[in-house]
Amino acid sequence: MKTIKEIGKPTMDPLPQLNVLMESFLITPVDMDPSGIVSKFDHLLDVRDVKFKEDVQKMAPSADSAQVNNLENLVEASWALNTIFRIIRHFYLLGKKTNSIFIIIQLQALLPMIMQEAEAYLGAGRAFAEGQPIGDGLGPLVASKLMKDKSQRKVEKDIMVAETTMEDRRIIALKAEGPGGNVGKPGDAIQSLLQENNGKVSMIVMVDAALKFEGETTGEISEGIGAAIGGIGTERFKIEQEATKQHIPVYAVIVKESILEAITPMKKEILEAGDKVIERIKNLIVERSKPGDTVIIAGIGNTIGIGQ
Amino acid sequence: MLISIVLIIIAFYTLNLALSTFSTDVTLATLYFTVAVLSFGFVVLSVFRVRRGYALANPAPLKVMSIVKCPQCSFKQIKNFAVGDFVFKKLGMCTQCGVASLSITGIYYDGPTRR
Repeated sequence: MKTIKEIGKPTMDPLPQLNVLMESFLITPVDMDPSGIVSKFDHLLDVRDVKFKEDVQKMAPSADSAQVNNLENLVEASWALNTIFRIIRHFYLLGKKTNSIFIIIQLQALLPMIMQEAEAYLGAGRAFAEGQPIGDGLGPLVASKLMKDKSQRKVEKDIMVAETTMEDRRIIALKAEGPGGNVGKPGDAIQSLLQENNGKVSMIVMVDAALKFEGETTGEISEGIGAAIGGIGTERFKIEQEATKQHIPVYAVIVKESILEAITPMKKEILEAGDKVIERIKNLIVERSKPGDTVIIAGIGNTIGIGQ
Repeated sequence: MLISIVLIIIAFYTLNLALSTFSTDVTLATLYFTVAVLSFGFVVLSVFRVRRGYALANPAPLKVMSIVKCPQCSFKQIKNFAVGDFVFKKLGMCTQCGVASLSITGIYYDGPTRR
């Protein structure tokens, strides 16, 4: 509320509108007949995104587009915290109402994990309010290092693309448009770039932050096969579909971090991993492609606090 | 809170019973002693859980730093993050070489390791 009032300078009290957003929900499509469910999901998510952004814009009329994106992320983090609160309260009151200690014990057993997630969202709220880069921004950070000072253009929804060269290969780097909090639609962007360069792209490298297991080191880099992109799966589906159609291998370079580190301000280890990731990409394209080939490098994640 | 007080009373009462019956009936004393230990255990556990809950609910603000660099010379400065800073934000003239190429090259959280 405080941030919305400070940045947005609303003429009337935004609290009622914020409360409506806090209670908003998304009804997922029917999955009894799963054919075509991805496009249905995609449509619903687009509608939700547009509505969310417009509602935030109404609450904060003085905010510019980057600030609206940051506020939208902030409202989403608050929504997540509110949802955790509602679920915990539900099971606590249900346990009391039914005199069932087993419901309370289950809640007690899960509470450390829930608290960790809640703490992460609390930290995320601060980062979104001030526009600080978060751990999840590692992918956009790597892409922006490749795109820096190169001619850039906007493709699809909120995705910026630039061309560069690396080890005699033509590189098409892409990331969500920053520095506002934004993930864009990299699936649509990669799909259209593949169609644009019909048959000329020899490999796709996706860079993303990934959740680590307990005991693993933050900032550790791993390589793998497949589309490294989170979310509900619609973007991954589009990349997999187009890559399969054109027989293009998809490689993933991930940087490990915890859920807390992913949505709170970027740690030094993660920032330093950015340059190491570029070295790993260089090795990967030297091994897996020939000079003169075209390679797509996609920086996946939330680009808050990262320009291009 | 009320449950903890009741458990402490039970714990002291059963501990007293355990001590008084120890010389006559060791089995009964062991039973009383077990009840006392369990009661104390529950109280201690619940107190620690509450303390941890409060500790998590109020995390300290994070220290976020911006790295300012000039690619033309060796100038590098690490400053506190200010609202409006972002990676690759152009900051204008370099105070060392006078070329307008100063920019923020990185923003990171600098502080103790989080869990």
